[in-house]
Amino acid sequence: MNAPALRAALRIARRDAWRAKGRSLLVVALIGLPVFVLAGADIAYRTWQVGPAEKIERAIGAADIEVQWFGGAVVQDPKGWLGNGGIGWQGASGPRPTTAQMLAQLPAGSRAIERRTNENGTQIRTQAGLKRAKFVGMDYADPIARGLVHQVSGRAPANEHEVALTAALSASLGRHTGDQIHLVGPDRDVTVVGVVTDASHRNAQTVFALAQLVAPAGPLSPADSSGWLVDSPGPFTWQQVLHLNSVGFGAVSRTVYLHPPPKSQVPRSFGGSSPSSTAVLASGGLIAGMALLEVVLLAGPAFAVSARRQRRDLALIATVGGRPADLRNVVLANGVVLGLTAGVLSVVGGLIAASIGIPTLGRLVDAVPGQFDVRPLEMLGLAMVSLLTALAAAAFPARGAARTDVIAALAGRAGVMGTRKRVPVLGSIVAAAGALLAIGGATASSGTVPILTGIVILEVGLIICTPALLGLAARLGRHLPLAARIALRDAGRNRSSAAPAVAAVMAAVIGAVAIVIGVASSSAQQRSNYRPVLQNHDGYLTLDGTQSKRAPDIAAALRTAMPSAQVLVLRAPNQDCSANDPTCTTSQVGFELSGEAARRAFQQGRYQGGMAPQTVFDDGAAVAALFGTPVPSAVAALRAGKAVVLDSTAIHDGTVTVTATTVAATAADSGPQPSHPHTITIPAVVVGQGFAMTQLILPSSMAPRLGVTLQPAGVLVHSSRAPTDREMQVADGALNRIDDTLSLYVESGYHNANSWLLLALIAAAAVIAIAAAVIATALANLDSRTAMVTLAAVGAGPHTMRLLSMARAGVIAGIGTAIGVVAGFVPPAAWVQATRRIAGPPIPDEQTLGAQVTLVVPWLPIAAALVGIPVAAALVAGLFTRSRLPADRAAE
Amino acid sequence: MTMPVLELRDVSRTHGHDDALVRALDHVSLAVAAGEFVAVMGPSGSGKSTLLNLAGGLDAPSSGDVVVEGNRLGGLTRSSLAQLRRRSIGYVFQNLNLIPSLTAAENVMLPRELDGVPIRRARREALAALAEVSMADLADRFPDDMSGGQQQRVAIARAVVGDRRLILADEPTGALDSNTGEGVLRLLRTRCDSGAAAVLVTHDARHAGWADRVVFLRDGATIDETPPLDVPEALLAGGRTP
Amino acid sequence: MSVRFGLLTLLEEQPMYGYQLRQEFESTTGSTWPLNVGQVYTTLTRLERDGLVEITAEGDEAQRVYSITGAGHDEVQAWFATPVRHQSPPRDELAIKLALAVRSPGVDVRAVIQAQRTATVRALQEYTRAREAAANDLSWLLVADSLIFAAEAEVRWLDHCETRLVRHPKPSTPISDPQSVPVREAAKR
Repeated sequence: MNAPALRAALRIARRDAWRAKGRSLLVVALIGLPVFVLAGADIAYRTWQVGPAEKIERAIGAADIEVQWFGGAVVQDPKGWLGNGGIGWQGASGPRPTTAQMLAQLPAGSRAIERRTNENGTQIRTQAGLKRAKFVGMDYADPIARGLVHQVSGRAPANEHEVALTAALSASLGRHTGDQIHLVGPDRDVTVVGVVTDASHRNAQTVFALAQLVAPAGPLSPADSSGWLVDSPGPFTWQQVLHLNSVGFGAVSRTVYLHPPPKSQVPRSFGGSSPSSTAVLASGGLIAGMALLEVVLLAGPAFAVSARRQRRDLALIATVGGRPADLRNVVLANGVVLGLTAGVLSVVGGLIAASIGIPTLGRLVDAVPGQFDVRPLEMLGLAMVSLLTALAAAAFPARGAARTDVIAALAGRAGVMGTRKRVPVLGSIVAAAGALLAIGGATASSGTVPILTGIVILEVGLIICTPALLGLAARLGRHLPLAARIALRDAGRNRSSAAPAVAAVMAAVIGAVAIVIGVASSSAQQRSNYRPVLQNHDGYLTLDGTQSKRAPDIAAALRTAMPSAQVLVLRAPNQDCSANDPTCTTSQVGFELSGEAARRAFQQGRYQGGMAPQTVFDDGAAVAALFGTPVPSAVAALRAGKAVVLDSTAIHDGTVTVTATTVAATAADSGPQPSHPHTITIPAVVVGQGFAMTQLILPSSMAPRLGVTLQPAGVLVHSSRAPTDREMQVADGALNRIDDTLSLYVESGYHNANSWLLLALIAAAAVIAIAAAVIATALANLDSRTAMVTLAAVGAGPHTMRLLSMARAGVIAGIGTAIGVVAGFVPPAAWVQATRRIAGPPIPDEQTLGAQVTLVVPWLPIAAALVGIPVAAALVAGLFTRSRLPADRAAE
Repeated sequence: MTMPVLELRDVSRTHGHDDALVRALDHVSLAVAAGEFVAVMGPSGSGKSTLLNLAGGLDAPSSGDVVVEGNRLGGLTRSSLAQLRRRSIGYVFQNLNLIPSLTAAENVMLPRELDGVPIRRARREALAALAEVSMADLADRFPDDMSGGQQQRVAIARAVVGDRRLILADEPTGALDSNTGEGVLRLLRTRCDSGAAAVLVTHDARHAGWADRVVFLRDGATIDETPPLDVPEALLAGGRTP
Repeated sequence: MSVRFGLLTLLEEQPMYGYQLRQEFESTTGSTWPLNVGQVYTTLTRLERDGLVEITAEGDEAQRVYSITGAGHDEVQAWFATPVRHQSPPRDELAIKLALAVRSPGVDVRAVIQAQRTATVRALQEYTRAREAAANDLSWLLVADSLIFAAEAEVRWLDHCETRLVRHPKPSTPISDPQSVPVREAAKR
């Protein structure tokens, strides 16, 4: 290893790269593109990944701590609710303390302001209807809250008749500073005095008012995150947080967030790096590795061709005393030069693209990015990846260069080319090992790492076999027409450039086939597991507390939109208390099933889920719609004051025991203590046929006996056919005018949600495969100009050139696709194995009917790929081939 | 006589076996002393190129020994052979001698660089060699911008850089017109006069005329050799004095 | 023939004595064409008889000065303008020798060819040396080159003969074998 020799090799590589600009550009583009994308993505990720200091400022502004009430004994992670969901509490909540009571637990001199948040807390009446908005009660002008909200125009609300809107909400409503709006939450008219933006969410639609205007939804409600922002006289330590925990408060302290305490002081650890995240990292790494392997294969032919071009030069270097290592270094130097160029260009390009694109992206995305964050080490690492990829691509031709037959090269002869016998044997063994590892790994352990590793090894093994396969294919070409024969023989003789191309095609096709089979199998399972939640073609609309009052209007709107359907309002006790109403209560009504009966109910496909309430109060009008057919016995039963159940196990001696429990919303603060339940036993009738949305239908006369009040809970649209698009549009429009969160769900059977993604992946794989074949063909054409001229000289027409190009591309794509299709069965087989093992024996439950996943092979698309990809590659290559034959032999 | 620079001792080179046996060289012996210019003549297929490949260690004989400056090539490893070509032996071919992406000077310094010589010294040696062949002002030109004759002269410079003692030339003037070719041969002659040994392979008698000794090859074996020359101008009795 | 025109050309430069002409001729052609004085005077007499040369200063042979005439001048011009016709091959002797060798039973033709080849190449070596020693004398160089090229042509012809021989090998029994002469002819003798 001496420096001058390496310098000489680099010099030769540099000059050669400059002389063959087209080929160099191709390689730089192939290798640089993924790095360019990764660089941009990394910068974007880092930019959006807000640092701790900024994160805490966005969460609590200028405050030192945020305190929330949970009640009972609180255990929390130092990062509190800003970490990985690290808060737990036990015991009863008790009444919410006042601000003064809370301050009493803090060091003297602390000052606090309230912040009450209710995600769906208010509705604003507009001309078009009602619009929901997030309701935040906080004096954001207070210095403690500085940084949470930016004032765009106007000022902060100063009293209970003033509010400020976020810019997004203001634009959506068409209301600006000085306008009046009506809030349906606390039901009052207020004046908009300012427009603001939320520091973390660009598109947030929020109304800011003073705290006393906002009623919290209750600490158990996920819509609520109310608390206090506190300014404490000194830094608030972890010990102090622990003290707050002991009296029922949770706290996020700036000091603790930025300087977490040692693990020993944390009573219980939350989240952290779970074992699954290392597996995710490993899987991600393997997938990235496979993508890079593909890039290496795509770039391989270019290096092989340039090594072949340099053959004479390499022989000369040998005659002046170059060692085999020196020859190898010349080819590797090609890789260094092109890899470094690609690395630098792609990193710089990524930087430029990110600096232009991130501001644009920031305007489109809700999350507000942080500072433009470029990590030099990561950029350097990506550039190194470029370099390593290029070196890997140049490695196989470099090995061949070291073994150059000097005498033959000097004489201008091609030299003997053959693959040693043991290479394909080795390759087959490796491939088989990979397949076994993938499938066996799936059987033996969970997790994707063994499967992915097995697939990578399988691919590598097949890649090793490829040159020998090409040699074999060349010999079989005897019976084919001229163009195909030449193409096959050429591929067999120029293995160092044809083999990577074939391998690239193969890898892409393996991916495509694996995805196709995997998705087909998965879809088949999902389809057989699919539980419709309604009768087919029926629609349903759930009403919450506020919407419930508008039920007649909603039903009327739907009847107008869909005249051929039957629209019914279903009545049930209230189940939703998020509407800012202190007097709200919720009730649960149902019957008990014993354990054995419950299990059997699951097994028989009866489930406790679906869209309608489990218990519906109806006097016969809704029966036909609920069951899909008229059931006179059920109607008669209800009219007679009996209950209707669907499960015979619920009935004892012809009666069913029904229990109702009612809970008050504000009483929820003092813990989930239901008021005493009401139980009645009434005669019941079983309707065991068909399918219904509910478990229990009670006559409305039973409601007072159960102590519940009925209100509209949902609207059922029953129809014998699916609603047309026009009908849906009209319906949606009418519903939005009433309340913009209303949406009608129509049951239409199983459909595959991700079909577009699937098609995109398959298309991408096909494009890669075709590109690999076409690139290799273009290089091969460049490489054999003298042969082309000879063909011209013996009278081959321009069509022969084109035909030869098409044959070359077709051969490479054909061989690669054939191997890829066969090998592509392995990953989904392994995945099916793993999924079956993880899922265990089939159990029908709430979500699935328990169908297992099996290997489903869509033969048509696969056959289409087998034929289509080679044909497409041939056509593309034919398109790009010049029909004029090269005339100058001496120019070679 | 002092130790010959190149010696082929009963060297044979065969390819294939049994029915397909081809004798490229058949028991050839040859010795070339320092300062001697030997031409090897013969029709195509007579084994001339094989002889040259064996002389420089690019190929190994099937039997017999090749000895360069006292070193038996058969006993050397691949890298020692390469070292020999870097330091002691220089090749000149009929054409395409130079690496197109290197300048003349860089081509000439290549064997020195491969040997680990630092760039500045290697360049100095290269310029000196180029001066010897009167190509010093073309030092930074690329082969594509040079005529055939100029390229051959640069090739010779590369073959002699670092004071190499054995030059092996395979039809070096084949692609040149006769005057330019003569210039090249004159160069080889001058080089031999300063102490190098040269083996010139050719099928052209006029080129062979430049040598001190002509060896005739046919079907891989030596069939004759010109008798030694004594004082120049022996034929021109009573002729002019220069 | 060339002696004639050689002398005429020399006289174009200036009138000369006989011995002068001899000296100049030899120095121009090198020692490749030695002339004796007798040849010179004989040629001069013939030239004078043909009216191409005249004697401008009388005296006995050694003291006569010769000059070229107008007719002589025209002859010289015509001679230069006319290319040399190719009449016979360079060495008739060699061609005949090889032709005979092919017919003779006990003769190894290839050996004959090789021996000739070696000798001619040897001559080539010497011609080449001599030419290098000639430095910048252009006339000398031209003549030397002609020798070299002629020798080369001979070697090329020998190669050609050898190839022809390989393709049409010598018949094993010659056409006229003393043993096969008919009895009648022998009886005649």
